[in-house]
Amino acid sequence: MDSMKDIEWARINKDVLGSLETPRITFWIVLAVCSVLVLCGVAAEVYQYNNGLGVALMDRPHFWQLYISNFIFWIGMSHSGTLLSAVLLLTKADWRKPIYRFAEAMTLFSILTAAFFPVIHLGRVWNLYWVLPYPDERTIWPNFRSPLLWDASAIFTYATSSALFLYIGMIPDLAICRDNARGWRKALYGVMSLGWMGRAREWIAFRKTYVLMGCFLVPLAVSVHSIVASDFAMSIVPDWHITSFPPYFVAGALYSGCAAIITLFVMLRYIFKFEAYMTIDILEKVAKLTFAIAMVWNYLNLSEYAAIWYSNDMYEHEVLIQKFIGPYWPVVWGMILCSTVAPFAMAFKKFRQNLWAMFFLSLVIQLGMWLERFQIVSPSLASNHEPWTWAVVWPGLVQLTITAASFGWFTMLFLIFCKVFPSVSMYEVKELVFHHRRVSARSELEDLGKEKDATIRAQEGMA
Amino acid sequence: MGLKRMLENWSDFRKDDYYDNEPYMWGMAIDLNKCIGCGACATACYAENNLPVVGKEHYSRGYAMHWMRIERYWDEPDGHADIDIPEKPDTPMDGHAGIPQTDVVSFPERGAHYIPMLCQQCNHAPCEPVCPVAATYHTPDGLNAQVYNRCIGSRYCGNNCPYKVRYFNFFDFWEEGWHGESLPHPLELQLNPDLSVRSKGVMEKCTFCVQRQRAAKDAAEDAGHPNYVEDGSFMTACQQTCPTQAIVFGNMKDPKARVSKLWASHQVELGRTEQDKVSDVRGYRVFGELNVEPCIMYMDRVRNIEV
Amino acid sequence: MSRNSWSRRTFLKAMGLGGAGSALLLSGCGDTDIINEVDLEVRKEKVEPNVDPQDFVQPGVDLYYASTCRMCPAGCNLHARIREARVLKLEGNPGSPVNHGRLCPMGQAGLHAHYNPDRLTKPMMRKGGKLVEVSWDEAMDTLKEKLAKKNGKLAWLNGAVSGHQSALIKAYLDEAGSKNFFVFDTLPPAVGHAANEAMFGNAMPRMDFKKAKVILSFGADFLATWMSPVHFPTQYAEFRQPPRGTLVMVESKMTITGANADRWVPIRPGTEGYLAMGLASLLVQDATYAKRLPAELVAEIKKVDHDAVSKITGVSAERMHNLHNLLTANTPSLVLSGSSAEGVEYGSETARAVLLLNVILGNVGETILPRSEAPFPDLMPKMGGWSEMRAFLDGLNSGKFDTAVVFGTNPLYQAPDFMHADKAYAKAGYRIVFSMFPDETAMASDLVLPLHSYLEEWNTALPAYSPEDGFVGLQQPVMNPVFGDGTTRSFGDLLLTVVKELNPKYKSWKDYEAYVRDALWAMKPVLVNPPKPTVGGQTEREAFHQGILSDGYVHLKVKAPAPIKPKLEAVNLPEAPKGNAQYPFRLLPTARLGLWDGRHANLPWLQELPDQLAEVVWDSWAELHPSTAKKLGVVTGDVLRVTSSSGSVEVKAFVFPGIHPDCVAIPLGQGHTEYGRYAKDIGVNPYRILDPKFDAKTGELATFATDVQVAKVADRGPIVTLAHGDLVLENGSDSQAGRHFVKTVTAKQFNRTEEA
Repeated sequence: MDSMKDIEWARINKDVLGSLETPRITFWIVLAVCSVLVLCGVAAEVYQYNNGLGVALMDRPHFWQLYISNFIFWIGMSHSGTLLSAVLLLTKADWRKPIYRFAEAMTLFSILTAAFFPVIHLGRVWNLYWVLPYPDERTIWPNFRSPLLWDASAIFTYATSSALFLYIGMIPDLAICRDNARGWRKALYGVMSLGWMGRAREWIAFRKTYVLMGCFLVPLAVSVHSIVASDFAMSIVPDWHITSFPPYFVAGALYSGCAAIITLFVMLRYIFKFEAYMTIDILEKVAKLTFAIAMVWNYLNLSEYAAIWYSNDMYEHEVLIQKFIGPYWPVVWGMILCSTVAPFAMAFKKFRQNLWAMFFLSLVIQLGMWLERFQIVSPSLASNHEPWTWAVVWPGLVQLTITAASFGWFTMLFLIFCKVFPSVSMYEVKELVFHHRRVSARSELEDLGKEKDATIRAQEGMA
Repeated sequence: MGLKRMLENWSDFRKDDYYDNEPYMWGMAIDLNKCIGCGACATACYAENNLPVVGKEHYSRGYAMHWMRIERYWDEPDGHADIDIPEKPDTPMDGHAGIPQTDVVSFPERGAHYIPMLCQQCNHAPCEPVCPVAATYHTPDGLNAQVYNRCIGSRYCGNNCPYKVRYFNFFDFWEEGWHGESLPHPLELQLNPDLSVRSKGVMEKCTFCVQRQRAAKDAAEDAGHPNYVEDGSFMTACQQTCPTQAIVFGNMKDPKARVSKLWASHQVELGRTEQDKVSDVRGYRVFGELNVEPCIMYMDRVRNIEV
Repeated sequence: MSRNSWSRRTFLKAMGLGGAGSALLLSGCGDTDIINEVDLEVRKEKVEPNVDPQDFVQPGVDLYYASTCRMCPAGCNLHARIREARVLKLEGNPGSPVNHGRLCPMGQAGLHAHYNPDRLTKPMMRKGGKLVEVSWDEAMDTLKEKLAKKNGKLAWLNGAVSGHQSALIKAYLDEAGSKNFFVFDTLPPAVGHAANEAMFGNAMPRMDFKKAKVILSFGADFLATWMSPVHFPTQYAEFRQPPRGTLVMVESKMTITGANADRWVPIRPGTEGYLAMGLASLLVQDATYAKRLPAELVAEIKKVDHDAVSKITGVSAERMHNLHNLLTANTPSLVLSGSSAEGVEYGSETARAVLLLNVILGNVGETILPRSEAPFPDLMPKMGGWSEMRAFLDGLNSGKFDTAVVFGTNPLYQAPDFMHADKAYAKAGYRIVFSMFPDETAMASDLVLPLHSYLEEWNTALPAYSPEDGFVGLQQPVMNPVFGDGTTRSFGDLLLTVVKELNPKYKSWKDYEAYVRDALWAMKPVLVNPPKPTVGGQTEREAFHQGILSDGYVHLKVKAPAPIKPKLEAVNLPEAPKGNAQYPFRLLPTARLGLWDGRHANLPWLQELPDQLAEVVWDSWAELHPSTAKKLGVVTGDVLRVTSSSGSVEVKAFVFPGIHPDCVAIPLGQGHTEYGRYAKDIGVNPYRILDPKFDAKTGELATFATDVQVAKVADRGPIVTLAHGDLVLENGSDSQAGRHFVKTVTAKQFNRTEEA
């Protein structure tokens, strides 16, 4: 912490802008791999579009499978950015300052990834626009009672708000970039920084806007995923129709999002050499936050099982038991291992402060949360009300390809972001450093004062 | 609809007696004492409603499109399914691959349980509120209507149906069902022009032969009694072909209709759950406790346990 | 038949077309692709509306024609729904005493036979060893050459046949001087018919299901594959009304009837006769029953040892006593004998033992009723049997026949391998087949004539089992032939053409339609309530034909029947059926309501209809009891080889609780090597491996007497949703899992709480 006070402004600029330089070969290789994944996904979708959803191997009763669970996973991933940038902004947690930028970017890109899935999973994709409430000559409106429609509005709102929030927060940084750039970058940053000159008036307006948007985003963070949860909670499918699903989903979202932050934290710190900014201290704080959320999620998970068990409802019981001993048991037990057992490693300080251990753990947690989304969807459908239709379906190649493509797409977007926009918020880090300097300066002055006092007393022979 | 019309009709929608002025409430009663499980109803439904034959490969993947299906259950090993019988079965029963086998050689000595399962046309249908584009809604005469050309295939309705009687066109079965090819000539001549053939991506289900209803209502109007379709003047395809007349279909608002009399004699009523029933008549509705208000009443199968 | 008869003139007038000088909406639009079929004075263009109505067609309006279903010998009557001159849907004819307005799955699937893409549309002749399509002219020339002559060496194998078709065939064979007429249809229980004939004087006496308080069936699957798949269920429905009758089914493998029984008795295969004798011996202890039999017979019956019966059949003494009590407490009853009981080498003895119970119980005259003399014996149904098939094949083998004609049956598919039907058939000098489909027999023949479906031709048909005597079903075309002119032809027309060559008197009928119409008109004097003219200007004859064709059937006057005087003989069952160490299982080749004996394997609706017991689709399977499966180490989906001393088949296992552990049941109907895309190379035909065992008395093939060994040859592949390896089932569970889909209520409660 104390080292923070010694960083000069220019160095911050230099380090962060350095990350925007022409990438090494590794970057291009990874980008190429991601593009290939995305293309495979597109091919799979075209195949599915032309032939029907049967190629995805979904059936009756497995009307939903990976597309929906991926949708929830990606929406979930997006919540941590909001948590870090908006919620922690309002609680004045300064340690967020070096890391919230990439978290916010992660939010936006997760939403952009998630947005594909409701489209892909439709039977008649070409009529997708009918879910939008636009006036038509047939005077037919979409069904406002349907959670899927609330989804559409929520995602739309969330995407717009997050994009705005990210952009607005970046304006001062974009101005810095503009001042140091040449060529196409200069033009880009010039347009995007909206003529920011760093005047006091601009800063005041900026602060107000930013904090207001933060306040706006906080309820969004909770409501969006609650609405997505209501896709399940509003149905009558056993083990979906659970009141605690909205908070459970929000907790799960924050959980997987925090884990993703840790992953990206470690990677960015290593690749761009941001050790000075993304300190172990901050990592530890993020780990503690993740741990806290993990406990909340675990509590909600266990309370869900308890509620189902004590409900004595035969349909719900059947699904719950089948989850653990039925055909999908590897998914469920995998989730338990990765998301319930593994995070307890973060109870140990040594573990929390070990970069690569945390990196590995974060990947494990994200895997666990992906499995969690899958085990929400399939086991309930496999053991639904009607035993005549009980069937086990595992996702086919098309679904898996599109899942992989979604990761490729997200990574691709993130890679491009890291090379075009500053992934650490320069002005906020400067604020952080300034604050540390002032604090340490004040305490230094205090120390000096005490010393001076002591010296004067000694000199004047005061007792 | 325009704002003005919506406001005008608002009071209609908000009334509790939304169905009161409507002369029809279509319902069914299926007698499982008579149903022999032959499957004539299922075949008739294929013929009447342009259902695609999907072939073995698709069938194995769960894409069968039988709007009406016959479910065949065996007794539970401990007689659990037959909780109305005071006696235990003579010998516990083994099943096929799914049920654990015992060393005792045992048989289903009281036969099989057959139940035809089709869309129950629930009055509180769980499938209706969840469709994002309002492709399924409740008609005033008690049917759950599926609008094929509005459906975008989100399949939420299929998930929400507890009976799993909604069938999704996972492929264009007319192009690639029929034992691996598109519908060959001259089979297309059999198609019923009174209803459409559904494309891929669309959800479909039993409609209580709404095309026949339409024709019957038109005929009633032509005959001068527009709000009265005589009981038996039209029949659903399944009802019409059932050799034992196990299926009775009609207008439950018509006290003279056979179906109304059956519902009344079995003390099953729309708007009231069978848990309130005190007598020991056989009528019940499947998943009645989910409060989805199905319009099909089943009557339990009967066995002489003295023999 | 239509509500308003619009002539085309009126129609077009209403449309504003027709007549000189009428302004045509479409005139002036030069490049429409609408062709005018009506010559107008102005412009002489041709305009055709999108739907070109024939005179009798109103687009959008349903027409209904009455006809008779020919999907099995039951002969239910139907109404066909016609729209725009094509048939869309078949329903039962509500006035028919046979099916009371209802149809079974096969009846509904008649449309798939009618519109089947694999129907033959061109005559075929064998040239240079291959079947090639030929013109009708050439085919007719050859047909006349081969058949329109006197030929004592002509052999004719027919499926079950009745009505005027039967009469015409007989007339032809008489003209041709051939006495070699054989009837073979797979499922009609020839042994049972013979036993009925011997004891009650009629192959199928009338039965009153409604009057019976108890039905005890020994293998007679009357709700599905025994004689009349619709009629008996209609009667069964009444039987189950309060006060509710009780059904007990005794069989080795559960059929639909067994699935609906109050008590299903799994019996060791082939031992039904012993059980019947055991029950008889219990009954004759009481003088009331004993006095119905001659004393010697009673003495023989009393010798039956119950413990022995129990051991032989596997049915406990307690169960026998229960059944005995049931029968004595509930009269009248009805005891039925069916194929699975009769399909052994002593099948006639079994049938006699079972039917004897009816006599003992006093059912004769109560639930087993006499029939009136047939007013026209030539029209009565001929069901035939395996003995006739054997005679046909023997004649071919011995060179007794030089020309073979096959119609309405498929011997090269149905016959077991040991009969070498293909070799016998190949010996015929010339082989002629009349058929709708390219079945195995047709594809091995020299001349194949493509036929109309039953929905395209005229006929009369008598039901295999008729609840009323003197009932004749009528069959008329419900639409023009699907494939149009120059493709298929009516069998009756073809045969008539041939007969005309032999006897010019037949020339007085232009075609088979005229023949049938004349025949019916000739029957008018003996009709009950013949139709009279109701419309002005209608002649008697027009009114008659319109009336009977609207009904779809006629009732002939019959004399009151003479009461049945049972002729009783002793029952001689063999000592005890021996087990066979090498072949430890009894093969049960059971018919399915759907594919029947295999004739409907080419209908996609029926292949897709899950088997009512096993829920398998599009395949064959071998049913094994769970205990047997466990012993063999087999699960559902594993591939088995089932071997008899006559051959073997490979088929997927299906673990099934409703079968005796000593049996393996393979359903009949698959295993076609021809017959179109929906039937070819699907499943196996269990009949192929039947052993040469025959009923001693009638010579019928004992289809339930073959013993086999069962061995696993391959594990099933992965379970994919509903497929266990390659075997596809309809359902994911056999259990209601504690949910209330269908529970059971006791008959006592039912009778107490419900009124008839």
